[in-house]
Amino acid sequence: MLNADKIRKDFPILSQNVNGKPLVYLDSAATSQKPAVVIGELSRYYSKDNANIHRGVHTLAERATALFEGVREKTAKFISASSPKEIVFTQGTTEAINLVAYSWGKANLTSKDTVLLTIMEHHSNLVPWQLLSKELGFKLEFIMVTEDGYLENPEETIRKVKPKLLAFVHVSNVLGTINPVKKLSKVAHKVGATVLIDGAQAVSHTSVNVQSLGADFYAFSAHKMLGPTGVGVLYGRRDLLESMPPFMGGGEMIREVSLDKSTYKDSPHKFEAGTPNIGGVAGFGAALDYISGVGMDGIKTHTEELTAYALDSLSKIDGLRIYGPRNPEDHGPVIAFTVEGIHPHDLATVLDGEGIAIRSGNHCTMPLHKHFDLVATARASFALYNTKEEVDKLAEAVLEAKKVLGA
Amino acid sequence: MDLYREEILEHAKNPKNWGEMENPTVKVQTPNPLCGDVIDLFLKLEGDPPKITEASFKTNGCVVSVASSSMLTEAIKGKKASNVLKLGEDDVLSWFGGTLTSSRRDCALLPLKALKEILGKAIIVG
Repeated sequence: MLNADKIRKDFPILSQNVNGKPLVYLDSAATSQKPAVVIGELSRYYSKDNANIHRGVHTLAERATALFEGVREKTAKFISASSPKEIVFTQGTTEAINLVAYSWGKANLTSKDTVLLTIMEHHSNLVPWQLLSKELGFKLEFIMVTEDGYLENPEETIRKVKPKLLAFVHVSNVLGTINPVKKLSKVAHKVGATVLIDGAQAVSHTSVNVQSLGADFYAFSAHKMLGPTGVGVLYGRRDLLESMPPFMGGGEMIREVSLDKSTYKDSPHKFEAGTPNIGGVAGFGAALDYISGVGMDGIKTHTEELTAYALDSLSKIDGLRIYGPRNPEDHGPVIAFTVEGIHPHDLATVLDGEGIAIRSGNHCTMPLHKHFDLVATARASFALYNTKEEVDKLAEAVLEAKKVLGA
Repeated sequence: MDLYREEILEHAKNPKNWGEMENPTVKVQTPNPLCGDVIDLFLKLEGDPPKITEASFKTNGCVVSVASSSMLTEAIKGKKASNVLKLGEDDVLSWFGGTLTSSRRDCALLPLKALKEILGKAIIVG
């Protein structure tokens, strides 16, 4: 385990009381907390370097541009992309997926094609494809999920469906399932599919190598990995990005503009119309440095141990049911559960009274909840700053909630 | 905790007016988009001007929405529809004595939303 006392000191928000109790933050899958170095970098950037990028020739503009492009390089290294040109900055995972849909999708999908998704997708990797399918008439098919939270016969389904695009989540934001990306990408490529991975729940606690995973596109958000909100990343294989039309038109993305037509910059700039979230990207750079400083291997082991510990202690509670793989090795640091006789919202409210922040609801996965015949679940998620003592507090508070609510 | 005080829990555990109604004058199903919970509300209306003679509900919702539905159906029975339409959000929230956080208000207001929908329908039909 990591030295939690030391790490927690880096996160100013954690040292507060909520409803009179020390804050126990177990909602990092929704958004992670930010270390002081990230908060400090936002302030430093706006105090010292703030300027618009890629246009000005003055010193501040040069500095801001170098900083922005430096974070692009850092991001490329972080996920082992072959070039910074494969990194497009977006507002978040959702925009990154929409970019693929509206740029690659419109140029490549026709009414004869099929897009294969899974029923464990976050709405952000479902709704864009529904919208586009209405427009282009392609078919949407889904890989189902087993009772214990694994994809059901994914390889057979890919071979049978022969999709033009396979798009799925690396780590489920509800079931916690770590999907076999490498294996499935391989099968998908054999049938000629392009592969898009939603990595929003993976990048914060797993070393991601987009090349060895075989991802053609990989989307994630800065704010779930200790960075600021409003910054996301789309990794795209260089030849794919080069062949794709722009997503949005505007400044920053053009080479030459006349009144009747324009030519565009090369990717990634072609996809970054308008002034980007430069300050946020600077903060994201600080987050990447912080993660590298702690070490992804240490973070991975820490969150794995917490998940295994929580799976074990929660499953001992009478009437508590966990959704997702029971084998901790297949389970990312996200645990969705229900307690018999207690609505998840009531559970979350009682826990909030104890200073414990968990999520309740459908977590933007209504089809998955419907599959399990549920309206809502409670969800606890862990990050590098959480401790086993906090898991104990969670378990105790669930028992207390059962008492209060008479379940 | 204040929200889950005896009175509220009692309404949630043993709700008044629970269940489907046979031959209601009007019925409605209203979802809470926040959480996906659904409430079914049934009313029997009689007379002119119409009076609510019976009210019942069914929901898969939380303690807050069940308690609110229980209290609301109790409050409207025997009342004139025109008076019930005057019930406001503040009236319903006051039953919880200011213990609701902003994210839980929607849970408490769901039955009122269903009621307004159903009465609107009844008045158009009636």
